[in-house]
Amino acid sequence: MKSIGVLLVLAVRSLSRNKIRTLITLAAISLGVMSAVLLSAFAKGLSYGMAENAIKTLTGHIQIHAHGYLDDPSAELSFSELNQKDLSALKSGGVEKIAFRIRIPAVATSERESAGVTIVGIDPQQESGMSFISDAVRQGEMIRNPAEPGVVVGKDLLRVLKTEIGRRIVIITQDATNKIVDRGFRIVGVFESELKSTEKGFIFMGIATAQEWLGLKDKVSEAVIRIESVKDSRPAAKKLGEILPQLDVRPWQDIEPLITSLTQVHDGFLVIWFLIVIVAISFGVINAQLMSIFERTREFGVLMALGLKPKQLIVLVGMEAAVILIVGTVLGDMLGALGYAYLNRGLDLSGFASASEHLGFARIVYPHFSLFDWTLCNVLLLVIGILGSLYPAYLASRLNPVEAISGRGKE
Amino acid sequence: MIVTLSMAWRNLWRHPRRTALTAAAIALAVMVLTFFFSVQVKSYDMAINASTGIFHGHFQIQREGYLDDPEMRKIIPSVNQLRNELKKLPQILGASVRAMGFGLVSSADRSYGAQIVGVEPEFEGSVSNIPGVVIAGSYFSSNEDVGIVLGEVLARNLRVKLGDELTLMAQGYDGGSVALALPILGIFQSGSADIDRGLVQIPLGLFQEFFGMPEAGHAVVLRVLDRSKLEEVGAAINKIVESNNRQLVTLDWMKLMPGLNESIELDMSAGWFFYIALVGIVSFTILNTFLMAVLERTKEFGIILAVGARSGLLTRLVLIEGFFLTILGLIFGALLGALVVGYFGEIGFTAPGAEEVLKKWNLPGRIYPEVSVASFSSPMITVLIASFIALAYPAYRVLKLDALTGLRGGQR
Amino acid sequence: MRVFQILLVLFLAQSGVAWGQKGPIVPEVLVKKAVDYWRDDSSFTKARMTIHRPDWERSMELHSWTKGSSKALVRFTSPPKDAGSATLSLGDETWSYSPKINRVIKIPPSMKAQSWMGSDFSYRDLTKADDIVKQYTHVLIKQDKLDGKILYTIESTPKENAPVVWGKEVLYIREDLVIMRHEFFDQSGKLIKVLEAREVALMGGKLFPKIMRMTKIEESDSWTEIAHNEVQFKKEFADAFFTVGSLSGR
Repeated sequence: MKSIGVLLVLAVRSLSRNKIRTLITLAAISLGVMSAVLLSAFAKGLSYGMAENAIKTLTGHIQIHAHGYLDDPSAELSFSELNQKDLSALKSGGVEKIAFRIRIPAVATSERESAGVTIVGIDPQQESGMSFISDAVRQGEMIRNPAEPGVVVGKDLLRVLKTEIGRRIVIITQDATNKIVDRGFRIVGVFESELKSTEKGFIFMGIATAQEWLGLKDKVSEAVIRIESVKDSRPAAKKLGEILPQLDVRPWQDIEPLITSLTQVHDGFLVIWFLIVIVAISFGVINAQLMSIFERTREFGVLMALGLKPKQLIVLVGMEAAVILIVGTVLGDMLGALGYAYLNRGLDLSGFASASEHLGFARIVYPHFSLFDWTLCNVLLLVIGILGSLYPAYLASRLNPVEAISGRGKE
Repeated sequence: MIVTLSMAWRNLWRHPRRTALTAAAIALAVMVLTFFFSVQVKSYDMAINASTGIFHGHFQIQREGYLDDPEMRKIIPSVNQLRNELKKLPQILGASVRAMGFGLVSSADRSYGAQIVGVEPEFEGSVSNIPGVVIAGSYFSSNEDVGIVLGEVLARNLRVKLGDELTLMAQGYDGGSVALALPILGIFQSGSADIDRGLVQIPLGLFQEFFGMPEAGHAVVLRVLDRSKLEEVGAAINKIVESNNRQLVTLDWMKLMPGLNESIELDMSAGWFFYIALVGIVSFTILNTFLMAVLERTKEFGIILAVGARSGLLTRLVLIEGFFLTILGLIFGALLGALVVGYFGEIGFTAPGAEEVLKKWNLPGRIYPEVSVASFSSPMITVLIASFIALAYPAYRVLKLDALTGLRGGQR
Repeated sequence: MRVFQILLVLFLAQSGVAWGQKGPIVPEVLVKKAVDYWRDDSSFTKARMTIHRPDWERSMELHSWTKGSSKALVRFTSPPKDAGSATLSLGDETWSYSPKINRVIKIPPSMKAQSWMGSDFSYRDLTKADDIVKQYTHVLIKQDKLDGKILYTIESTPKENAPVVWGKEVLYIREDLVIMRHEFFDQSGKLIKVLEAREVALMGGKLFPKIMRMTKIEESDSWTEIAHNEVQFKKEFADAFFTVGSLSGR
């Protein structure tokens, strides 16, 4: 027992006597831990971000429609806005935000061209924080109140229709009785999006304007819901479906199955990349320790000549490694916390997509902290670090002290 | 100079373990980066291949102006001959003729506007995935078939199933109205919602007959063997096209699918971020090992300085040692990297669960990275630069060293 | 009193009203009268439609029946390739019949902007005749003499939410209510297409644009011409005649 204490003292003193070596090894470990922790938070944030990004276009976490609407999105298949009772039931079911919309296919025509589009009638206040459109208008203005007569179209649609902001376009569609209706709408705002297909495909107008035009009174095509955590979408949708059996309640995974699959695949690859990073980091840590041990053969020789038993040498080295690893890990965690606070502002990934000067949008990633990941990183690196130092320690312990001191040993 | 070189070299081998460790750090760096880079490059490639492979192909020959304003009359005359000539090129995997028109597709209950594409059953499969992703019924087997295939989204919208009849109404070549009623022979699911919703296909012969088109088409679609040689192939194609007909243009996939590049790059951007993080980590490891390798020899250096060598010589020695180490590490790393990439190139690299998920969408589930000059040169150059930067500080420390401090082990 | 009359004349002149032979001209009224004159209560027409492009030309013979402002049936009689094809319009709804496949297809909203039978008229154009009256504000901008008759130039601007893509239209209406020329401008003021009466003759009891041509200004040498061979007005047609069922008949 006493010898452990002595060894510990020796370990600490040897570390502090060789400041440079200790500092270098410490730096390797702490930076390694910091990178591991930050990257795992980044990877998780990326995974969430991908799902959120895909959803934010217009999908939301959960969607509600009249039965049959998803197969046949017409004005006919609309439902009455939910009454107070239902709304409060929803809120207690975990619904954070709800937005009602009109959504139907239509044709937009200009003087020269026509294009198939989807009309999205929205309440701008409900949409903010729910979908991308509230921040996406780059020219002109977003509509502010649901009864405004103007429309907001995507930048690429202007090109397709050969028209401009401020001009009128005529939109043709079918109303609640399936009769063909048409009306002129002035373009008051132009939005931009990551994908041209979004810009080409959607025209936004006030929901009240749409309802009046289509003879819908207060009916809507869909309700979009935001809950607290996107990962709970499926169970939440099930619960809401029980509250509202007369309507069709679906989680986003059912509405966008391809994106769900791609996100899963993406996540899988992120795990692999992260493991590779851990390998690289581990190697760095072990390398630093190996180096420091091999450089001290003479020192070990002296210690053994002075009476240190081989087993004790291993313990000594192991303890040095442990001390430096623990200190390094703690330092690394602190640095990681700092880095996390900095990254929390959001990391702009669009700089990595070389064609992205045209994108008005940044693909911003927010790091996501997970206790499990953090613990895993720390434990992994600690264990690897200690194991990594034991082998050379063992080798060192096998040395003949005389050979070690004279430098004619295995070095 | 020779003396310095051989001294440096011998120095390295006098401390085999240290040398091995330092070189190993560099080698590992190179190996990890080349593997990562190869996989990224390949998956970018695969994404493009997958997207262009659905329908658009790598290249299309069209009448000039057709892409921006597709009019029925902008035809490619003697198109079969052109297709045959292009097919002969060794870099071309497949060539097929298409004719296209826009019209109304109607079922008993519904009508939708859609693109009507006349395809060559014999060759279409060599340029497009669609013949291979038919989920109900079957694709055309010959140009004499009389029927229609359509995407499953459109089939759902039209409320039809296999065997039902669809009516096509469109404007013919001479401007007149043409109409056809055809049975549904197959329904496909390409993975692209736009395609599954927006187009129907009929055999080219049928298209030419009913639209009143002479032996002509609107596009020759091409698929190449090696996407990395795009420009080269493009030039070869252009030569044939121009000698054939001056009114034709060769369009590459970037013109045919303009949003594709952007969306793929954006998706891959996370991967690049990891790459850069990796570069940082390995650079630091290299710095670490160089630093230690130098600082551990302070006493040694002290002796050399005390014996009369100038610190400039010492610095040069250290730099040359570092240089040799780096080269050693690079070579080893490249070999290791080639081994790893080659291994995964054989068995395929994938993430857990990814394969089954991707198969559902007819997307390739495994990445088979390739060893190529492109995917290796970039990481190697990066590590080379990182190594040299890492050498700077230790070399500087050596430069500033004097005999006394050295002998004392570096402390003042 | 005299002062008042003079002031009235001046006032009316300012507001785009002119003195015609029978009293002041109010633009909206003139336009409505011209449209009613052209369409009449009902009509039966035999005509030849010619579509002309820089490198080809095609002609078709057709019969058309109209009743009121919302019912119209067109049936092609020649060439054999097109014979039997028919189009029915009831208000905003349009159906098309093809004898080759013996089917009637309702034209969905997505196709309404597409060209009708390859001509320079779209399916929407077939049903939009009356819009010009209700959905626009009209101003008289000029008054000339043409072949001894007064020619009024009226500029019509669509109202804010009118389902009209044009920036403005200019109508040249003769005092005998024949619309000689109809110009369509985009919203930046560029002329896009022109419908003109190339020959006016006595048909079915009144002066009528025997030959009408719709020319696309932005495309070289592209136009569609309708040459009326026979026109009868105010015939009695039963409403049942304008139904989907009669598209394939006869």
